Amino acid sequence: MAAADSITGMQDDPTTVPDSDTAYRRVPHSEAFIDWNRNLKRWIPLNAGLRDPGGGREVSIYLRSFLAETEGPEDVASASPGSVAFAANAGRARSLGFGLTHRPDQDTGPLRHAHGNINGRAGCNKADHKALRNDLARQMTLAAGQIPDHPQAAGLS
Amino acid sequence: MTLVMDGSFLAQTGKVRPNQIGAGAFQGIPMDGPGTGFVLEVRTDAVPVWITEVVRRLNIAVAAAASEPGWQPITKIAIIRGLQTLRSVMSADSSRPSLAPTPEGGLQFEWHDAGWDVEIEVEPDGTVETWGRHLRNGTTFDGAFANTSDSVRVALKDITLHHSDGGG
Repeated sequence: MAAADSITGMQDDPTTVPDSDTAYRRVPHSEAFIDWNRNLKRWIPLNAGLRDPGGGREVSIYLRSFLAETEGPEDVASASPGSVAFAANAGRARSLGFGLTHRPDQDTGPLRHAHGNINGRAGCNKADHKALRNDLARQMTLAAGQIPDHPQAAGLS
Repeated sequence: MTLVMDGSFLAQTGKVRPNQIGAGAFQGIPMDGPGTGFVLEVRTDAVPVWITEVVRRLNIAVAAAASEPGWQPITKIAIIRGLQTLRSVMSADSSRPSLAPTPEGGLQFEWHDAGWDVEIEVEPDGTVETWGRHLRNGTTFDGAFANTSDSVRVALKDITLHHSDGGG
């Protein structure tokens, strides 16, 4: 059962979503949402790739532990045409200050059963959230989907 | 010089009315007008070299925002203010930003390089805010562009110098 921390107001449920779990984030396959990070030398989501309509502190995700045996990050990506999936370890996300919860009621798609949220702290200001989203993006790795060569990846810009 | 932003999507949906943006430094911009597509007209010889790439990415961001369920189309005033803001902080050789829409209909320029996270967010109403931090030396800035523009320039100069020195 998800509980709100009495100090931070953050929803977190480490019992249902253990640190060993993996959160998959579906991100549109577009330069507007994905960027080649020259320092990390890999693709990571842009800030926009970790924002959802509504402007809340939640990032919509799918939890590996709630996917069926036959389901994986490829299904997360393919549930929305033209998307890829990024992965973040639940424990690493918590270490950054996020909470994770299982929230199947917030999704109507085919992977509804595995839907969850990465939750930011209540009371954080906009700058804090920007910092957190950037930290989270750097933790994420591409888990499913093809990204074609990009000028930056090829060192052309 | 006239850079034509691919207006096919805009013309088809009508979510952003076709226009010309007349601009030396993107000034005197007509908010409504006839025409097809979305044309950015730069009336100056001092055309910044980064603008072609920024316009390319702007086209991608406009299309991306329009195709995402629940996302608002990027407003024209956000595009105009965004270009004006870039014009005021970028030099000819500045590193190009990534460009992303926001769910509310604004847009955001981002640099994540040389230890810096720098973001310029343009709200749908044209309000410009910035945020930045250096991951190693602890420098931070945050707030209205009018109060942070110097910090943005310093950060962008640092990023550009890093690359001219061969950094990655």
